[in-house]
Amino acid sequence: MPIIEVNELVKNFRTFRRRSGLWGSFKDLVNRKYEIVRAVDHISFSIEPGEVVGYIGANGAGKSTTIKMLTGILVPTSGGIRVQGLVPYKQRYQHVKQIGVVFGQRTQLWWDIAVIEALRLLQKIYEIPKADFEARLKKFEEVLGIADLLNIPVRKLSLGQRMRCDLAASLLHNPPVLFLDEPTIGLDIAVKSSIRDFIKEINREYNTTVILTTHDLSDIEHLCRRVIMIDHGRLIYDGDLKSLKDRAVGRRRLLVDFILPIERPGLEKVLAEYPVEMESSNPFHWEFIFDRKKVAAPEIIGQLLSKLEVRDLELENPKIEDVVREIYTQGRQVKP
Amino acid sequence: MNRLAKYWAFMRMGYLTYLAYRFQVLMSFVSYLLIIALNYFLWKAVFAKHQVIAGFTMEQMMTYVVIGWSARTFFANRIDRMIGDAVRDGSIAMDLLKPTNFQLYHYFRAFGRAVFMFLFMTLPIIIVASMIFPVSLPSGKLGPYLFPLSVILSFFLHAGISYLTGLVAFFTRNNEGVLRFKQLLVEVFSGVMIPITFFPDWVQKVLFWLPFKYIAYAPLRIYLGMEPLSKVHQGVLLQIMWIVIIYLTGQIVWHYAIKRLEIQGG
Repeated sequence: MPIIEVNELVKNFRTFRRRSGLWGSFKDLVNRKYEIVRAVDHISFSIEPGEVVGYIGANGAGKSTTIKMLTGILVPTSGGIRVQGLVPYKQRYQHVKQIGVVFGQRTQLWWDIAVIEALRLLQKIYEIPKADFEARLKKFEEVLGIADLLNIPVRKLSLGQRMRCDLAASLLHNPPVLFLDEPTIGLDIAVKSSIRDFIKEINREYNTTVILTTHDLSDIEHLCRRVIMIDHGRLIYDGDLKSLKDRAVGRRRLLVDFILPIERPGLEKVLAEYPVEMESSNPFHWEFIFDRKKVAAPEIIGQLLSKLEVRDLELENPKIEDVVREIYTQGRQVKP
Repeated sequence: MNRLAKYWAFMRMGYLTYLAYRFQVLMSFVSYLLIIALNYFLWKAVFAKHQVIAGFTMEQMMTYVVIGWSARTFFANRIDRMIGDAVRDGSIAMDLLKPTNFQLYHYFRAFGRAVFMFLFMTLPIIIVASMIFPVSLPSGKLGPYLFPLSVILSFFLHAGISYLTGLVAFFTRNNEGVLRFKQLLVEVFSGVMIPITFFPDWVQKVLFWLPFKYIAYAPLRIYLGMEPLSKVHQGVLLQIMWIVIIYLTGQIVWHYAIKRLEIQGG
C-alpha cells in the first residue's frame, strides 16, 4: 500500500504580463493580459513506506511546486494526491500533523527567540507528550550536535547550525513522512555529511518515508536508491539510481600516478589489447577513459600494475551530473 | 485543553519576540508622550473660551486623550503587516505547514505582543502622563471593572479587522494600500484622535453601524462614566457581536484566500 500517491498532477500558474511604456501601463490597468504557465504537467508516481526518494530536476523544473502541493500549501489545478490516505489541500489540518517539512531556504524557528522556545512551541502545536518530546530532543541533541545551540536566538546561528536545528524541529512529532526541499543548500561538506547521516538514521530507525529535492547530486548518491526526475514539469525518469547511472553513463575514468615518467607510445604498447583512451597533463599522471560495457576496470588496473610502477590510482565513478545532463539533452522519456 | 495550550504558547512567543526589542519600544514610548503633549496644547486652546464642548470638559478630554493613546499601544497590532510580509516573501508557507487555526494563531501571537505592550508601554505612559497632565481615575460604578474587559475586547475586535486586511494580500499579493486605508479608518473612526461626538450627526449615525467606534470610543466612554448603565452593557455586547461577525468572516475569506495563494520563490 503506497504511502504517497500522485496521479496526473497538474499545476498552472497565471502570470500577469505587463506591457511596456507609459501607455502600456494604462492599458494594463483596464485590460490585463494573463499568461498560463504550466509548472507541473501530468505527473504520476507512488511511493512506498520507508522509501528515500530523490526528486530532482533543473531550476524551474517544477520540483518545489510539486513539494508544495504534496505538503498541502498549494492547491493543484487538476489531478489527485493522497498522502497517508489524506488529500493534502483539502485536509490540511490533519495532513500537516503527520508530515515533517524542511525548506532549506526558510526556517520554522523564530528569528528573535532562542531555538529551544521554538521547539517547545512545536511540542504544544503537535500535542507531543512531554516524555516523548524530551526523549527525541535528547536524541537529536546527540546526533545533530545541537545541544549548545538551543539557548541561542536563531538570528545568531550560522546557516549550518540553523539547518540542523530546523531538521530537529521538523521531526519532533515523529512524522511518518518527511519532505526535504534543498536541505543542504549552501552548507559545507562537514554539515552536509552530518545531515545525511541523520536522515539515514531516522529512516532506518523509524522507517520514515523521505522525499528529497536537491541540487547537490551527492546528496542523492548518499541517500536515495530511487530517483524521480522531472524537466519542464514533466516526469522524465522514475526508477533506481543505479540503473539510471548504468544506462546513461557507461564511461568511466581511471586516474593513475606513475613513479617514473612515461610517454604515450610506451603506454599504448602496454594497453594495446584494451579499448582505452588516454589523456595526460604530465608524464607522471595519466587518465584512462573506457566504456565499462567493453572492458572492466580490474583488467586495466591489473595490466598496469603488472607492467609499470604505480604510485597511486583512483577510479572515478560516473558523476550523476553527467547523467542528468545527458537525460536533459535527450529530453525524452527514459523507461527504467 | 491541549488545543488551548497551543494558543497560550503563541501568546508567549509573541511576548518573547518583543522582549528582544525592548530598546526600540522605549523609543516609541517617547513619541507617544509627544503626541499627548501636542494634544494637550491643542485642547487647551480649544477649551479657552468654553467649559464644555461636545459633552466633554477639559479634564475629561485630557483623560480621554491619555487613556485613549495609551490604550492604543495595547490594542494596536501588526497582524495585517505580518500577513502581508509573509505572503510577499513566501514565508507564509511555513505558517501553513502547522496544524493550527491561522486566524487564532495571529490573534494570540498579537495578544502576546499586547501583554508586553501593556507592561512596557501602556502602564508607563499612563503613569508618566498623569503626573504631567490632568487625568482622572475611572468614574461611575462600572468604569473600573468594565473598562479593562472592554479594552481586551477592543484588542480582539481590532485584531479581526487587521486580520481581514492581511488576507487581502492573498488576493492582490501586496496589501500595502489597503493596509494604509484601514489604518486611516481606524485612527479616525475609532475615536482615538477626536471623540465621535465631534463629528456631524449623520457621520455618527453611520458609525453606529460600523465596528470602528467600538475599538476606542466605546471603552473610553465607559472609563469616563459618560454612559448610562444600559448603554454600557449595550456597548460591550456590540463589541462581542462584532468580534464574532469579523471572526466568522475571516474564516470564510480564509477558505477562498488559501486557494488563491501562489507562493513566491524557493
